[in-house]
Amino acid sequence: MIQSKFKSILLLVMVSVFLSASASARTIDLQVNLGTPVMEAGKNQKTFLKVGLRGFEQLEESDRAPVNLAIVLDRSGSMAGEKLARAREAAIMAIGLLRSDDIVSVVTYDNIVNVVVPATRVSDKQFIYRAIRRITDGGRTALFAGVSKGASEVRKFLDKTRVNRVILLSDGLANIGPSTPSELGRLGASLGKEGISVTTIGLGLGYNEDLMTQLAGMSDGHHAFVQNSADLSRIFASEFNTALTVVANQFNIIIRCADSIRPIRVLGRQAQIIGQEVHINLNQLSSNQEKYVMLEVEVPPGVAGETRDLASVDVSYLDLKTRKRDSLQQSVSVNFSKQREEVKKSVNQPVMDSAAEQVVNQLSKEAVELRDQGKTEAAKDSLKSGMDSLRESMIDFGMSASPRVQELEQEVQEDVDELDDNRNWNKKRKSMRQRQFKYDNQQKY
Amino acid sequence: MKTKALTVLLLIVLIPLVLLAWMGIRILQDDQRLHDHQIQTLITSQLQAVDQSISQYFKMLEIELPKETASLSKTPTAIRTFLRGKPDVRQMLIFDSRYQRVFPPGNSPLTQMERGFLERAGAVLSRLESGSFDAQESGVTLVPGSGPAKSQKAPEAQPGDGGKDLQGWHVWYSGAEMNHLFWWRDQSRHWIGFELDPIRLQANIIGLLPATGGPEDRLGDARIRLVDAAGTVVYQWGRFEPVDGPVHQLPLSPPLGSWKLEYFGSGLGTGAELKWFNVAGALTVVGAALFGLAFYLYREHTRETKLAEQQVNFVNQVSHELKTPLTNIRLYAELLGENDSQETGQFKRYLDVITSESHRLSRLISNVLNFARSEKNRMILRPEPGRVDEIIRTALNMFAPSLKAKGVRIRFQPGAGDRVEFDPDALEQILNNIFSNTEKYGTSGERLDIQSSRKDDRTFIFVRDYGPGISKRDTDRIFQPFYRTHSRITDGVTGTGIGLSIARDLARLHGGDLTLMPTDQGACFKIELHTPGRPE
Amino acid sequence: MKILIAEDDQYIREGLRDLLEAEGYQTILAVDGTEAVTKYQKESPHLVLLDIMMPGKDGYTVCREIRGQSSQVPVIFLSAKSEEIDRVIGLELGADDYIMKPFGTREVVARIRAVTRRYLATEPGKGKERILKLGDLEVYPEELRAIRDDNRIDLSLRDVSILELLHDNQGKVVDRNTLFDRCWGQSYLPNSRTLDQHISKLRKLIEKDPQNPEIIRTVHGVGYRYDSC
Repeated sequence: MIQSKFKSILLLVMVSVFLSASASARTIDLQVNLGTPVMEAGKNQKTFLKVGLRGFEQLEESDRAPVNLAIVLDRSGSMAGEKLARAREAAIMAIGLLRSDDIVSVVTYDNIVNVVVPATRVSDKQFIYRAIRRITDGGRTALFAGVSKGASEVRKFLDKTRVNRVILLSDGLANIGPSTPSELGRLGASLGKEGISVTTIGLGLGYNEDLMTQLAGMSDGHHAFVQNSADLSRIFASEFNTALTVVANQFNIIIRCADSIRPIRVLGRQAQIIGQEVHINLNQLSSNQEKYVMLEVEVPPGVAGETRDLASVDVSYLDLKTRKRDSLQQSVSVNFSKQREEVKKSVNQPVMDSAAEQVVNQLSKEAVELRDQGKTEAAKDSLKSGMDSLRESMIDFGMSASPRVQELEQEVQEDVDELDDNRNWNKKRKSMRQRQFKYDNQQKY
Repeated sequence: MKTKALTVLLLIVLIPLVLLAWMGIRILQDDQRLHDHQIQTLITSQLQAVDQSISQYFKMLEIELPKETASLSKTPTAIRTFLRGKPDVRQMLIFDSRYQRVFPPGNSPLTQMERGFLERAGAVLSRLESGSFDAQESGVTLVPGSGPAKSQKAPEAQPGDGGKDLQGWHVWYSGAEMNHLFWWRDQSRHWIGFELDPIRLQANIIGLLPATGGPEDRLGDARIRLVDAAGTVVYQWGRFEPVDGPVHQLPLSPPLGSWKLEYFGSGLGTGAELKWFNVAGALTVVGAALFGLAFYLYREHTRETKLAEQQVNFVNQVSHELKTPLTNIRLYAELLGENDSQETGQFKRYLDVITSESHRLSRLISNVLNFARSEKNRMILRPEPGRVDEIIRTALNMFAPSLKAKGVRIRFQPGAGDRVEFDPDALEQILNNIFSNTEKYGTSGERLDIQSSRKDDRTFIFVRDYGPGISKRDTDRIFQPFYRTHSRITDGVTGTGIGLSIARDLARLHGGDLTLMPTDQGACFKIELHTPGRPE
Repeated sequence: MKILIAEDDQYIREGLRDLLEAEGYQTILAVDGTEAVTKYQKESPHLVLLDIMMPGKDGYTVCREIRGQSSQVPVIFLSAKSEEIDRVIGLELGADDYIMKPFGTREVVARIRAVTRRYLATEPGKGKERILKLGDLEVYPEELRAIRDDNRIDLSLRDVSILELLHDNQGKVVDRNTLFDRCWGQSYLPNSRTLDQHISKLRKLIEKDPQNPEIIRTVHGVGYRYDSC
């Protein structure tokens, strides 16, 4: 008796502390929505469940979490000249954005790896700049080793409350050590588990975009395609800005589907589907950034007027401002109706836009694959028919084409037109990969 | 003469140089061997240190992994959550004490990763499931853990053992990828296995190893490569760019036994090069010094030779110059002598002195010239037909007045009156020199016997005086140039000291010899000449 | 007989002249090689005495030029250096003989006489050798020799001409002027002492007792005569 009483008091105190804390601090905004909150009764159908996360706004620069960055620069022979000069400039400029409690390291690689600046607090910037300016071009590219070394530099000061990131700049292929996209992807995934994300910046047209996107994607980092080295500074600035505005990280998202609901797939992101449970990890969320998980589910027929619990979503994350783990919870249910009008009216446009984005993205990836196999026409057909069926299903849902869908349609049309262009395919492929990556991860820049 | 001197000097330079070089090379080679050995040891220890740091990592896993899972509940959810935050571990495998698989669960849905694992590790699993976790049988490499349970071959060998000291590594390949599974039996007698993420394992090992130029890089000018079983480079560091194969190799300790470390470097030569350079430098300096010395000696030598030659040439020149006035003295003295009839005895005596002295001067000059010639090996005979006895008479006639004046009785027994081929000038000079010697040293016996004979192609002339003789000690040396016996009698007697030497040279040139015969009194010279017959 | 003496040393030249003229030769003197060639062409001597080291043309050159005129005239070299002799012989200049400096009268006389004998023996038009008998002395003019009791006596050209003159006028007095003219020649300045000395020397050679001469008898105040017994 006494024990239970004590427990409830303790609980009360805790709740009140929690409430007061959340009142003063901004929290992550969790939105769990269905594309079709009202579904037609008596029919087995699929729909999209979107788990949206929006980072709270970071009001002051001093509020931001300290970062722990490793800049990994490719200094192989192909980087010689302007590329390397621009990269040095960009790195120096970006480091200029850091505070003295941030940690930075600079690693270069050709066929061997040099730790130019071991992980160190950014207190003596001039020292770091001098070291960067001394970087010269070398031989072949040990990309895997370079990233491994960069990660191990980050690991020296690994701290969950920091933004831990490896920023890789390369213009070439990996040719020493593991060098396939899937291997690098697995490295990315492993680093992601530790809370280290890898941002990959592909420079010029010589790098392997699959490898770079895999590495970045699996660690929930960023990816950028920089065709002209003059843009490096801008990209570095954007990259650093996202790093400097990360408000929360280490997201564990668990979607628990109700018994009758079958989770089909998560669009765009890496997810584990175990039975009714879907696990997704997100590494970081910036101020005002929206990231989402798009889950396609199959809903068995319902009875008109019925409200059915569809899924509950648990999100736990580390608030970098408070340096505490927080958790959020939300459930979503679906209603069934006989009236098609009612169903159409209830359609959630933003969710459907996002879903369309992901579907189109999926099509785009398939098109690249087909194109890689030399089946250019098939790729075009697949894109076209995919877009057609998307449009049809939209209409099915009673939606007129939204502006976002029109945009997507336009992109698809462009892709279809440009798939033929053999001469610019390399560049096109890189920009498609970048866009796919962006849609998968809701990258800000 | 000149080439001989050159050869000697060259040898003086070359022999010490060659010796020094040989010794230098020997010392250097020994040094090199020692150096190589030290380097090899150093390299080995360097590689061993690297290997050590890698096995340290595995050891750390052996300790950390059981610790981390000690309190882990063995439900799939808990394990999956655990794995989601575990970067090094790709998958876990749990069997209960009855060899029933607990994880990945057999009776509930699996993730894609888990299904992949079951495929990958099929062979290993079936063994475990059948309860015979025997590495030897299954063909799966069982690597004993580097921990305390090294001696354990297989867990069921000691089923009674409670828990932790049963552990080990499984290494197997799926495709080209090498997989590591660390297993142990916990207190609840569950078999727990951790499959390491191979990619992450590589990344972690790279993280452990020094970066080039970093604080841990103590390689200097060398390169170490970590090479996997297929021979591909996993990681390398060090500034040296390999051109040839590795200098040294070291397989890694288990469980990465199929990988190896390769050491590249010019390290074996670095110190030595400097030493070679030093030795070469020293040799060059010594060589230069020796050459300098040799050159100096050679110059001195040639200078002296030249000087001597110049002196000889000078004497030669002067001697020739003397011949013209001498000719005139002789010629006019003899011309004067031919008109002697009315002149008094005193006038004739004076004229005789002039004549005989001019003859003596002629002999001296021709001796000097002959000596100079014999030094240069340029004496040439001009044989012509003649009678030996005639020449002996001529020579005797020349000396007769002065010998008679000293009271010497001359007895000549001629025995070589045949016409033969010989050089009369040479013979006359030989005789002149012997008679001159007698005139100087051998007149005290007041007797001079000359005897000539001929046998076959050879002519013999014996000239004997009855003076003090020549001591045994001096018999050889009197034929050496500039040698005069230092007895009292010879004191104050002038001469060039080359007469007998030239006489012997000429006799030998003439296919014969000039020797001193043993006698009880005085000196007896034997002249032997090769004189081929010349019938008239 | 004419002898060309080419020698640059004045005293040797003049000494040789005196010696050879006493022997009964006519002499032509040349002080250098060039003069030697000129005088040779002008005078056509019967014998050449040639010094090797001379200013202008040296002895070798002179010899070659003389021989170049197809002359077989005998040449005797005078030399101070045996090396030069080697060359004379080596070059096969056709030297008949050589005399090494320093030399005495005997060598010169002996070698000149030897050459003269060869010359006289081959002189064309001489016919068979003449033998002069002066008492028990046999004189062979072309050999410049006389023989008595198997003893050979070397004679000079002048000795032979004196003995020839006396032999051809045997039983008659040959007066001093005739002797001078015939045996010395016009160019020679008569000097009674010269004649007397020569006769005295000749007597030493050929007379059994020079104090009581049997071959060359003095005719006081006139000259000399030979009487066959």
